[in-house]
Amino acid sequence: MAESKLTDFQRDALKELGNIGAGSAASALSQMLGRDISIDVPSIVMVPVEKMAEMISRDARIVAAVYMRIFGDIQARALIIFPQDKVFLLLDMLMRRKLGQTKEFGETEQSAIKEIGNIIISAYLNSISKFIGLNAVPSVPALAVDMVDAIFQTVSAELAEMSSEAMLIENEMTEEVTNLKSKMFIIPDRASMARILEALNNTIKGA
Amino acid sequence: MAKRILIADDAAFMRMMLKNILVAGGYEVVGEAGNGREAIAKYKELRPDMLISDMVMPEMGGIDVLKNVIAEFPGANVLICSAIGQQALVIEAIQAGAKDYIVKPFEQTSVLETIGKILGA
Amino acid sequence: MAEDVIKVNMGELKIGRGGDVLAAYGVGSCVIVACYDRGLQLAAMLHGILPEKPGGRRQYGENKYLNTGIDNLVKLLLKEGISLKNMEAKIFGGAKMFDISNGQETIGERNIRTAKETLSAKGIPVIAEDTGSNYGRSIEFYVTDKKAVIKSFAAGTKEL
Repeated sequence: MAESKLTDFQRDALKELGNIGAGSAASALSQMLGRDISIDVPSIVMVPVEKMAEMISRDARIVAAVYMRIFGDIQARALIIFPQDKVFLLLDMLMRRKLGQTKEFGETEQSAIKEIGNIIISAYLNSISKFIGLNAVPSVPALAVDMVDAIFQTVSAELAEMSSEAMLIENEMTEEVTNLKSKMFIIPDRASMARILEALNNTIKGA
Repeated sequence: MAKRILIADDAAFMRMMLKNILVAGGYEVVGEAGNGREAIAKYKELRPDMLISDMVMPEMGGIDVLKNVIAEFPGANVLICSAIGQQALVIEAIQAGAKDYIVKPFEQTSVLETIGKILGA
Repeated sequence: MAEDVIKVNMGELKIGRGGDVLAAYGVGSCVIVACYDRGLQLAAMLHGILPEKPGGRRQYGENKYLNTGIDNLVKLLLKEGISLKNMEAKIFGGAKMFDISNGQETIGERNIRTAKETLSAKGIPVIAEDTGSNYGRSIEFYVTDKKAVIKSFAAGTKEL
């Protein structure tokens, strides 16, 4: 089985797509929290599905993760993670409370985290969809608060049923005051990757 | 008399947020639904002046809720409020009878403005 | 006496001897099968990802499927001179990490079921298990004692 390789043009085009998505995601998060959000350059890498969990985490850090399946022209998995020790601050900002006020992780708080994840990931998808003309509709969001590598392992197992390889698109967003760093991962399967690259090609060359 | 609104969204947090905005805007929130099936049942039971519904929900999605409600109550005021803002879906919703479509995250003022336009007339 | 930690990643099968610790970290839906000799200080650990190798096609990476992975694990131990009647197993993992309810059997549940069926078909008893539920686990299996230490965020530390 030949390993998929990206040309420089494709790599640059994907980075640009990732930037567009990240920009929208950060904008949505900024609006929700009422804070400035900065973004990092997205990282894009093709990985064998079994190796994905190893690439993400070095330690058993605990995170709150919102997970969504994506359907439509683009079949993918989306995951957004927040360090567990920043979740209460995130909720404080969202609900416009004084930092340190949120102390419980009850039903409302859990729902809020799921909804933040939903909105951020949807914003990302909305903008890339607009750019390349492919639909990408997310499912109902699911939440887990646990070891980041166990979470990734489960996501990659689901992918392993369909593909041997997947593209891992990673974005990091930071809120300066609380030093909250959130990482977002969009993982299209191989067939969707091919569709994305073709649509990107048409969009860029057609412009 | 205040206009009566039913909210359908699987996120309890979003329902709470919308309720706060609506009450501040002088509306009465007569009910909440956490999934599509519940949304339809409550609409039939409560006959609100407006239904504000999410798109992606368990049991039944917003488009199907919309089609169901419009089929039984032609002219019903349904406002879609969703995180997904992709053109194909927005068009589908409007063509299926939604009076308008708001993309999350939204500003309080623009939500109230949109509702006011639909109900105020 | 320092312990040698041998990490068993997704889709891997590794052997350990006296003094070694076979370890799998961040286990969600995957199932870990630790199989060892009742008497000797020898064990093998499989980190299975999916339940069954789809029939028909020749495929690489048979260790990633629990049915063929356990076949390989047993072959490995037999090669070391252990007889089947002396083999015992302990299994871990197969959790449902996300609160998605769609009525279908989850990957984790299918993994647990396949692991148990495969071991049972070979006559290998499952002496202990810490499986299912909805949280991630890290497993360290001490080959000398044949004891497993299971750590999780949600349920603390267990010894089996």
